[in-house]
Amino acid sequence: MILLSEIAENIRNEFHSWQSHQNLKVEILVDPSLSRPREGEKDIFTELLMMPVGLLPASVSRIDIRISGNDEEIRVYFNYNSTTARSISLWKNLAKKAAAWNPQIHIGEQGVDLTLSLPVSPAYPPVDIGAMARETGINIEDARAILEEFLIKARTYISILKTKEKSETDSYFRAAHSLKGAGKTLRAPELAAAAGALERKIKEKGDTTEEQRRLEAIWDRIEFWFKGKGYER
Amino acid sequence: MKDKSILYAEDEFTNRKIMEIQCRNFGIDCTLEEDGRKALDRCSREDFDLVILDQYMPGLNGDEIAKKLRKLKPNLPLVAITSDDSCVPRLKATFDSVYVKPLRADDYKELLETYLT
Repeated sequence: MILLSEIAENIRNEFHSWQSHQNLKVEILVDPSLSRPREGEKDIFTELLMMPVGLLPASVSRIDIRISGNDEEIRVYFNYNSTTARSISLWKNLAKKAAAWNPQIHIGEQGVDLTLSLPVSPAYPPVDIGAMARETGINIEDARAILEEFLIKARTYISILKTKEKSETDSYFRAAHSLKGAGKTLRAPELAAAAGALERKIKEKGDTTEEQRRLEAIWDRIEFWFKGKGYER
Repeated sequence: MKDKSILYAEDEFTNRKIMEIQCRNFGIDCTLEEDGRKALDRCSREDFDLVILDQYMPGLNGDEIAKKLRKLKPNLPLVAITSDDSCVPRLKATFDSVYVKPLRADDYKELLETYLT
């Protein structure tokens, strides 16, 4: 069972732990009718809420978050005061990035407001360590150890994807291929699918911008989940 | 299956690690390689009861290694593991068995028992 007031507190604490957001004014209003405990796994729910918040640029001076909704879904309304006009266009890009991760995010009419609809039931974790252990017949401690070591190695692959010249097709392709294989093994279907799509596009020698952006967004989600120790549950 | 030895060539870390754990559980001596060329070199110099090859690897791909090993050691069982379903028919022509990733507990058991008991 989760308390929305607890989640709101987590969001506030997370903000103030970031160097670039320490002076940001954060107002979070939780609809009183939603403050009762709800079904769901708290960590995953918090992660869902934190994803768009994690996309906040340093140029925002104030944020108001209103959490409301009903028994079917929770609506999170973000309102930002941007410090510069440039922030607005930045927000549009960030919203697009967020939308790739969660299709229920909508860009508001003003271009700087987002409304995020969250299912009450918990989202699935980006890496299913329990399934990996069960399905491969290894114990959960070994599965966790593999995941931890993989995340270190995978950062190298992600770095290759971000920094390598696209003309260096072989290392670019291998990085995508390795992430696809690991995604399948780790029971991380989003990672496997996004890396597979990128791998195919590289093979076809097409424009990889969209596939790479999607893979990076999923990777951000895995890093966020890992940071929150979702894998220890 | 104790006292048996396998070589598993695979460039992807998580799969290598799981195979290593499976072998440890079955008491099998498992040698790991990440590079196709190094795997071929090792197989040429050492004796294994079973060689398992990932298809797509740096250095040499699994089927390239298998073709060379067939000439060097015709009786050595060779198994391919691939993440690409579409190349299974082609690989079946060279390998004794072909498995598609991700492997499940039953696959590991079947694979190791078939060739090592």
